[in-house]
Formats: sequence, C-alpha cells, structure tokens
Amino acid sequence: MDRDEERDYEWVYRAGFASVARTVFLIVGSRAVAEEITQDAFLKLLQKWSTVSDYERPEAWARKVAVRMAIRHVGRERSRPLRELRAQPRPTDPELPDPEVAHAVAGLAPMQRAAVALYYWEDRPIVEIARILQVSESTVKQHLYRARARLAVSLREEVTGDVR
Amino acid sequence: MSVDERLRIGLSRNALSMTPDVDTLLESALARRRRARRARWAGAAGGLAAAACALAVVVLPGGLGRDRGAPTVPADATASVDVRGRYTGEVAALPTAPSVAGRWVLEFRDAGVLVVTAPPAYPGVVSGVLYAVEGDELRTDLFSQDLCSGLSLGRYAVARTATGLTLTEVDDPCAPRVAVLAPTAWDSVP
Repeated sequence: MDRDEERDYEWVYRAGFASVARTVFLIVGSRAVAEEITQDAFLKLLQKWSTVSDYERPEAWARKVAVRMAIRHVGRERSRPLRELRAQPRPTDPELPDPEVAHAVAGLAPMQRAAVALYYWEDRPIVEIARILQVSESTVKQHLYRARARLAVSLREEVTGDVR
Repeated sequence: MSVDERLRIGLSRNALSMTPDVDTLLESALARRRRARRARWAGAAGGLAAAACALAVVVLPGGLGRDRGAPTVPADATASVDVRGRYTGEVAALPTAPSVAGRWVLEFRDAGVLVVTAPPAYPGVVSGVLYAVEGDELRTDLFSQDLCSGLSLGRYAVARTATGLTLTEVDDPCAPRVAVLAPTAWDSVP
C-alpha cells in the first residue's frame, strides 16, 4: 500500500468508522464489543484495500462485514449457557439515554436486531437492508414485522401502518 | 406515540451516545498493518538467512570443520531465557479494568509471536501480540491495541520456575499490563 492508498483508506476510515460502530452498537448492545467488531471489519477492509478501494463505496463493504459479524456475535452470545454468562464479570457501559429501547431491542433475535437498526437508525430502504443481510426483501419485511410487534408490546406503544 | 416513532427517537439517542476515538483506532489499525508487514519481511529474511547458512555448510565443509566443537556464542553474550510454551494464570479484577478478571493463557511461540487467550468476558483485542526475549528481559506489546494504546512496550524480567514463569516489571508505562502480567503466577500447561 503506497502513501496515496493509505491516505484514501484513512479518509474512508474517518468518514465511516463512527457511523458503522453506532449501528453495530445498536445490534450488540455493548460499546466495547461494537468498537472491536467495527475495528476488525475495517482491518479486513485494509487487508483487501487493493480490491475494495475500486468499489464505489468502500465503507459500505466494511459496514456489511461489520453488521454480519455483529449478528454472528449476538448469535454466539445467545447460545452460551445462562450460568456461564452470569459467572463472567460484565464490562460496565455508561448509562444509555434510552435504556428502555435498548432493553427491548436486546430481547430480539439477532437478524431482527440488525433489521431494526438498519431500518430505524440508518433509515435504509428494505432493498438495501436485504442486500446487507444477504436475505430476500420479503424476509427483511418479515423480520421487521415480527420485531415491531414484539417491540410494541415491550415498549407499550402502538403499531401503526406498515414498513415500506 | 407509535412504536416506529419511539424506535427512531430512542435508537438515535442511544446510537449517538457512542463516540469512538476514531483517530486512536485508526492509528492502531495502521500500526497492526505495519507490524504484520514487518513480521512477513522478517520471516522472509529469516528464511533467506537460513538458506544462505545451509549453503555455506554444504559448500565450505572443510573451512567450518576446523571450528567444530568451538563455542558458537561469544564469551560475553548472555543466553536468553527460553520462554516458549503455554502458561495459564488467574488474573484478579482491576478497579480501572474490571473486564481483565479471569483465566488467561499465554502461548509464547517461535518468531516472537505471543498467542493470548483472554477470559470470555474480556472485550479487548488480543490478536497480533508480539514479544522478544534478550537475556532475562522480555519485551511485549500486549494490549497495545486498546488498554495500552499509544504507550511504549512493557519490559519485564523473566524467570523460569519449577512450575512455570514469573514476570517482574522492569519498565512499563501501562498500568493494566503490569497488573495482568506481574503479580500473576504463570503455570506451565501442556
């Protein structure tokens, strides 16, 4: 990687890291884990820079990788026995501005969490979410439909309309 | 309020509460890349040097034969402590870094590679750690990607014991690294 390429990478990193990390944070629920996953995704981007730098939006590649890593992480955490999770000291995150929403989202399945973060926080259309999650558009709608129904109950809010 | 509105507001507030230190993380990513590249070059150079030595032994058997049996290490050189192997240690929680608590495994491999297995709850990065031993002094960049980011290497006096390894701080500006490495009894494991 020459100096120009490194400069390009730095620009993409600075422009995209915080945004990707925030989305990952909404999926995994821990700032430290979100930072680690996002860093790993951007390291992968660095390793593949000679190829990915030619893409129209290299940060979109890192975002896709990070979101999938976050989903896998949540899946692994959920499959660990409860006793094992309780026995481990948990890193303490500072208080969240809206802990009720965070708690409600933490009750969702990994793919539902990702769909909710990409739809409500990143405001991405269904077709793009489907591309990031590598599933069909109807699967994304199904995830969002179920997630909304569950979140409406846990947050005691009403469901109006439908996802676009 | 509809659930959609509630989610948009709540998720947005929560997301914006995360403010990663992008400059430090970027520097860490680039440093890892440089380290990996250096390690690759060192490996290649080592391979070339080994090949050159092998060639010299084959081509010049008479010349080197006269020196067989002579000490290969200069009289004033100190043999380095051989730390290669796997060690495990129980680390207590630190007030500044409670997540380091638990069982750690350090595996000192050839070529200065230190493979670290952290307790499951430890959220930091422990991949790509390097070490070097000169005499009885060990240097390592453990935690350079998070807890010790931006700080220089840690230097420790290393000694083999009947059951494993002890590390005594010589000079280390990173308090969490000292707290993990120095007071812990590192027991040898197969």
